Amino acid sequence: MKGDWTDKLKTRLEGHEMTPPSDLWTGINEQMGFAAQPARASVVAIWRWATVAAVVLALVGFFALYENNEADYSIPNELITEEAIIPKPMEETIIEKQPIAKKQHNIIPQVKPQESVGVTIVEENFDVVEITAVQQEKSQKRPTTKEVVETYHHNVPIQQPKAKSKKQRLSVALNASGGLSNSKTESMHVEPVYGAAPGTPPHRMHYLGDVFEPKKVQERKASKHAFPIRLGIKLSYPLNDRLSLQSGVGYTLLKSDLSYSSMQIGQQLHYIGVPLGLRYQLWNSGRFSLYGAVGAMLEKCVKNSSELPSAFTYAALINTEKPWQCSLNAALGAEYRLDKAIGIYLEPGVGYFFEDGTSVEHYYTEHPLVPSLEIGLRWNM
Amino acid sequence: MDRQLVARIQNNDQQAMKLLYQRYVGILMSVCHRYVPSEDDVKDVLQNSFVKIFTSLHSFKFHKDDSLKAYMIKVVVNESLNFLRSQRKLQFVGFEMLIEEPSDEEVDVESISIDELHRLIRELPDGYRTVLNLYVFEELSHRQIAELLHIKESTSSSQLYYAKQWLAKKIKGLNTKKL
Repeated sequence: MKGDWTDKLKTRLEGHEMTPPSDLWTGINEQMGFAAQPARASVVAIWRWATVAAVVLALVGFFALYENNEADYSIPNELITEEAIIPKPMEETIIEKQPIAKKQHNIIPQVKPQESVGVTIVEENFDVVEITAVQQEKSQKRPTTKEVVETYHHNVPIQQPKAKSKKQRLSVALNASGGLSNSKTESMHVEPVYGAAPGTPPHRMHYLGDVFEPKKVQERKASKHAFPIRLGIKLSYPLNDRLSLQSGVGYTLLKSDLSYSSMQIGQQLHYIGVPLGLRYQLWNSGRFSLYGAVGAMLEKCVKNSSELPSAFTYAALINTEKPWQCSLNAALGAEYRLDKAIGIYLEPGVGYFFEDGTSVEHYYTEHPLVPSLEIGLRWNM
Repeated sequence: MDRQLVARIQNNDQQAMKLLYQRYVGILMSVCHRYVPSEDDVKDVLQNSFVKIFTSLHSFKFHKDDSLKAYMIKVVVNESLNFLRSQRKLQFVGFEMLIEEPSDEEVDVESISIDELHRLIRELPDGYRTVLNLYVFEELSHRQIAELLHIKESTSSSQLYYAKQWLAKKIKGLNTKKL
């Protein structure tokens, strides 16, 4: 501090930025002896393998489910009647936007127990929950047209299900998780930026030179990151009576609004990931069971879509990086068996998401430690 | 963020170099522009500065979170001074009288835009501008400036005095025009 008006001069000019010459980076590259950047072959290869692994896991899960059902039941000819229900493919539940709406669509089964699988889809904040039928009834009532909504059946009556042991069995779980509340995180970091079109992310400001409006000041206002939304399918393989190995495939959506002085960029990151972990049964009593789970997940952003107002069409201004994301997770779960095969479970947990090494801003950059609440259906085979 | 970028650059990650460039080029451009009068020369000096930054980051260690930014500004200032020396623009002959700095009357810098203030500083004669930049923005003492520029402390002091007088006059002129 000099104690005179030059202090104010310094304060005013501190942080002043200017647009650099458009060919400056090219000159630096040449002076550093860098050629044009080669394609990152290793990353591409890793991504291909991850995709293949995810698809294989998903297919194995579904086929294992299918094969198990085929093997478990015999089909007595005398029970095949005209009334046999025409097979329907698995259908996803229709989602309706209703607050705290929880519906069950049931189909009345055939002579013997039938099994159905539904997909639980939970939108942000669990405002919408709808579960397809998971039903086991003994009545022989035929379904009416109104009653048949969305479900999945095997096309034959079932004589007798195999006796199942109390040991842990191979299981498939469909799960979803979303925000615990309606709030969004908001971070305030004001960065005066000069010489760029409104909305230009600070790290993109000056590289493109003359496409910017000269001497325009844009202040970075805030970042709003919505809670991550997840959907997934997991396959558990029992290692012993209590311990099982879990893996599968998951989808995550990260939505953010990046605000500047006069505009806002809407960003959506879509990830596909492969979890790998262990589940340990802590307590089991009849229909209820408690368990703990730990694991890691590797995710790849497969789509990074950002929206600028139509007046700003410089595609290069948007950060289009598609980061990888690694995380460690731990959870405690409670499961309630609806019958011998199907259970509904609730799994509160916490995950730590490591920095992804890019400049893409999203929920995990603000909150690396993320609580989660997973809900889903588990099919024990 | 800075720590991560530096770690990646230390592993010769070119993408990280570009990210670091994009993050700080605006502010470094402004600093260089304040020291070097010609636009063409600014580009050359800034280019050399970035090359020095990238090649020297292998031995860089963080002391504070903003120490990378401070380090990069220091490199740019040093490169700018080297350039000015090479162009013989740092000649201070005849400015060695010691001037007691008077208590300055208040100068209204708030009413002038940042870009105008930046332009006025660039219009200062080379010697005035360099000393004012080092004294006000880099917060060096007259002793440090004297050692850096190989001049006497009194020369540094007198250069600063004239720079402030010149700048105050220009700012007042602009403020009067606005009235």
